[in-house]
Amino acid sequence: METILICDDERDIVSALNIYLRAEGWKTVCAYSGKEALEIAATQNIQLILMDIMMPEMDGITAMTEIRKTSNVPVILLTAKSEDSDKILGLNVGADDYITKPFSPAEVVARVRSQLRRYLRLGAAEADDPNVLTVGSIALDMKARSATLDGVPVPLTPIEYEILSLLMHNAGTVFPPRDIYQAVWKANPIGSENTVAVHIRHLREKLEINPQEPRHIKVVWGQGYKLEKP
Amino acid sequence: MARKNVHSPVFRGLSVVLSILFMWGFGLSLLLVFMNISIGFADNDEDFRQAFLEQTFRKESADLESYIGAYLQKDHDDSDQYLISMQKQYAPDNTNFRFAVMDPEGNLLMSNDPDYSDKTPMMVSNISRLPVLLDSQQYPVQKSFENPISAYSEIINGDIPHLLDHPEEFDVWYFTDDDVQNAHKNGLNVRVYSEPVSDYEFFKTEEEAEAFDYSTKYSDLAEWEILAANASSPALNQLPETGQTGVPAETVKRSDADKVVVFVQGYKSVEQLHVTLEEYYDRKVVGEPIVAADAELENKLMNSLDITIRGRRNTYLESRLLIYLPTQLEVQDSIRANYTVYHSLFRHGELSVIIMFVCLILTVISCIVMCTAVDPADKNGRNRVSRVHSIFYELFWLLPVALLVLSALTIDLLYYQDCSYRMIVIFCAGMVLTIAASCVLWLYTTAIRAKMGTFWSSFGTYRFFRFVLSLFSNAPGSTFATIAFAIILFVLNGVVVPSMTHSGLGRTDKIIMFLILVLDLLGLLFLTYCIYAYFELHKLVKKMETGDFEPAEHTVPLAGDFGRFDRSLNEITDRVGEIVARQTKAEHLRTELITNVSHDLKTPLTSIVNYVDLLSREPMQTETASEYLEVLQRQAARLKKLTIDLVDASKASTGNLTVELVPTDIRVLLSQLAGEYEEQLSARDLMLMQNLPAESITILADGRQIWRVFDNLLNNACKYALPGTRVYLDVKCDGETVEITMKNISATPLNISADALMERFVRGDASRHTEGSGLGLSIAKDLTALQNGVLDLKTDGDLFKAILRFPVYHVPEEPAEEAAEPETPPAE
Repeated sequence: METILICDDERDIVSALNIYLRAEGWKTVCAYSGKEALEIAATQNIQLILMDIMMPEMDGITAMTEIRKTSNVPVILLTAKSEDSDKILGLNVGADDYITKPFSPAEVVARVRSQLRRYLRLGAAEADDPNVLTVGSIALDMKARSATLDGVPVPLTPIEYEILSLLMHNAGTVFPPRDIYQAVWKANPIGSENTVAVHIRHLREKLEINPQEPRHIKVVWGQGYKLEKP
Repeated sequence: MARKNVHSPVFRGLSVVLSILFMWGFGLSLLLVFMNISIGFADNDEDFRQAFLEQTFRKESADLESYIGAYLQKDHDDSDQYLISMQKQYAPDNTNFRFAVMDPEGNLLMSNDPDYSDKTPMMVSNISRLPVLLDSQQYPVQKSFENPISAYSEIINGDIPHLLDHPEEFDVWYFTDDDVQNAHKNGLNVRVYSEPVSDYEFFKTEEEAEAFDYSTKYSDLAEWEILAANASSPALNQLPETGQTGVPAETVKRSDADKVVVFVQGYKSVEQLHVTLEEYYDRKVVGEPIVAADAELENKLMNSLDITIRGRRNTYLESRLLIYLPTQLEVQDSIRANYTVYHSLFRHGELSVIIMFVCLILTVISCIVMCTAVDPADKNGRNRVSRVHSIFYELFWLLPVALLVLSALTIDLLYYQDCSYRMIVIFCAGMVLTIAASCVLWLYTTAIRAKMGTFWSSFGTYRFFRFVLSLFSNAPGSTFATIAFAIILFVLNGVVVPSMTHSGLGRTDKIIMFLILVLDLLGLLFLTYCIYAYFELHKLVKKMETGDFEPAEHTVPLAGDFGRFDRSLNEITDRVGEIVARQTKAEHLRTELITNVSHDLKTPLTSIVNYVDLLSREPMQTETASEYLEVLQRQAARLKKLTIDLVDASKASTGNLTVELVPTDIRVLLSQLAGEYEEQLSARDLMLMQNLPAESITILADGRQIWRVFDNLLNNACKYALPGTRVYLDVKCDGETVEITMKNISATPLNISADALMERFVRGDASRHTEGSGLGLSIAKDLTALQNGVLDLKTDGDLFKAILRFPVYHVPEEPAEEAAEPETPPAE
């Protein structure tokens, strides 16, 4: 049974999250300020922390920085700020993921599950399989021509598999739709570049918790697509 | 009652008509009086005729004189024929016209009146003095020269300069053939030219001719006489008797004594001698020895030159030309018609004076009445003055004068074109009437203008000057100083300098000229400075136009009014700069406020969304409760979207957003877009039609922001397009600009303008019941502008069009590697 620390100065939000996470079968601990969160994190066995950034006494960023000194427990930041700079700051300081307010319960649960899986799986790291290519939370089994997301198998069509494989082998590189088409279909895309975009979207829907805000397969508008390096 | 009459239009019209008529009468009688004065109020027929004849033949006598003069000089072979042709040409129909020419003796030389005699009754018109050639004879003059050299020097060296000064006045005189032969025998060709004065004197009688003292008339004559005496020429004493025309010889002798002789040119025949007289003379002078042959010639010449000179002299006596009309003008011709008119005009000289004065008095009275009757306002006091009275006043002054000049010129022309007197009189009457009318018009408008108080202001000159003054009414004092300076320069350069240079430059003049030059130079400098200042200020204003409100520095400081203007402009830039800064700050604060507020909104919103969700998982007691819950869910979702869009809109509109412009391929972007929206579009039964150019087009854009622009547009299309229709995405590129057009058919009528669509919180259906914040198009427009693009919306019926324009980004070409080879070859 994993324990999740929920930390927000807004009690209603904490209790709502509490309800959702408990409903999923996780144990929860609540804190209402950064300081409290620090104390709990130091004394209890916590597997994941959900933390708001803007809190009195000690804000989420500071608290997380403190926690990071001793633990690598996954931290998901809750933020009302939607600016990119805030997200980047959070991720740079050591957050594993972030959720912008107002969030939907389903997204929170999905992200928590994803982070827990990674964290726990990482603890029982599987033996390196030369046939398995892992980028972030996505693992590609080249032998079985299948993929898993945080250990959960993701059903892919052959085309989707080929695209994902291409992107994963070149993680961080932007591929124009044309190149993807040529690599996957082995033909020139005459008037069918849209096809690539459609398949990518499908792939995103399967791999992303919130396809509108992809964390893995990113669209570089006007240039192409890439798989984000972890 | 009387007052009313005065102002009635009929009365006024009558006074105007009467004024014109009286003035006409006055003008005509004035003309008559003037003409009567010119003939001295003649009251007998003789005087009339005399005046008429003078009038009639003034223009013709000059012609006639030249005709008859030519005739008398017998320059024509057939004089009778000439006379006939002259008559025909001169007076074809003027059969009453007569002339007679008499010689000094009173003998009739010629006439077109076969019955002419001394007793013929006539209106004597004119007696012209005509020169009649009395005598034209050759007179030999003998003159001895010591030798050709003395003749040559005497004549060539200007001993008789008079003849050389006025060669055109002389006939050519030649040696006689004998003289030439004689000279020729001596081996020398000699010519002597002699030319007498062709000036002639007129003598009415022989006594007169004899008494005439030539020496007073021709001062040179005495000189000649001396010359002739010194030469002991027998010429003067040996003149032959004349008398062909009955003029005494003495007269001829005396008159012959003027200018004779003069030009002697000696030359040798080419065969015999090879030295000209001139050369010979020159040798003598320079003391060169003369060759033997020449010496012989000299000898010959020394004794050979006794030359007879023959000359011709014309003597004139006065003849008389008589131009007249017979007492009875028997033939009915134009002369008679004219005479009748003339006579009737002048018959009543005294009467015309009386009529003139009467008309004058009547004119004055009627004019005064007219002026009082003139009224610029009607009974209601309303102004109903014709526009005529606001025309430039000068025109009314000029009109009578112009008419007067015109008629004078025309009458003169008619007179010399042999127009009949009747026509001229009718024309005169017409012109006088026109002039009278123009005078009355002048008086009328003057009266109206005086009563309206626009007398001075209606002068065009006055208006012009007032306009010119008004141009400078608020001008600073320096303007007038500048204009005054320019005028002074103009006067100095245009008047003073030309007048000075015209009369030559003295010492003081030169100093003044120098000063003027200095002034001109100053003017030039001043003008240059003005232009410089103007362009500096212009630059400043241009700078302001582009939104740059920094004060400008001038290389040369601007002085005077330019300086004041500059300071004003700087003041403006300061103020505007302040305002802009304040506004920027305010916008910044507003964005910040909106961002903060929306952050604060998000926290409670999160709770609402979550608890509504939790609530929906609880069992609902009634149907209504779950319905209400649904509303809550929907509205919570909408509130969520609004909150997010609000921040975006605020940032996009204030430009408070960092955009990172990178080369972006439109084709790739649109294919990505199509892929993203494929499902959403097909869910609404919409078909996306893309028209892309074959080549790739690159623009500079921020990928995320341009996505949001297209996202908003396509979202809109998904929401509002009529299901089952097509959505078009067309791309056109002209090399500089790429134009992306999205077209779709709206499901609901677009009862709203394109501009309003763009306004915040407005959506196509004008009611807000569907999802969305209404901020989409506004955000899209602002974001497009942030990426140097333009978003235009157009609605045409149900057709909705969004047009995006971006400047094309031309990818800089990679510099060719190793384009330039090093000059030195690599070391081996």
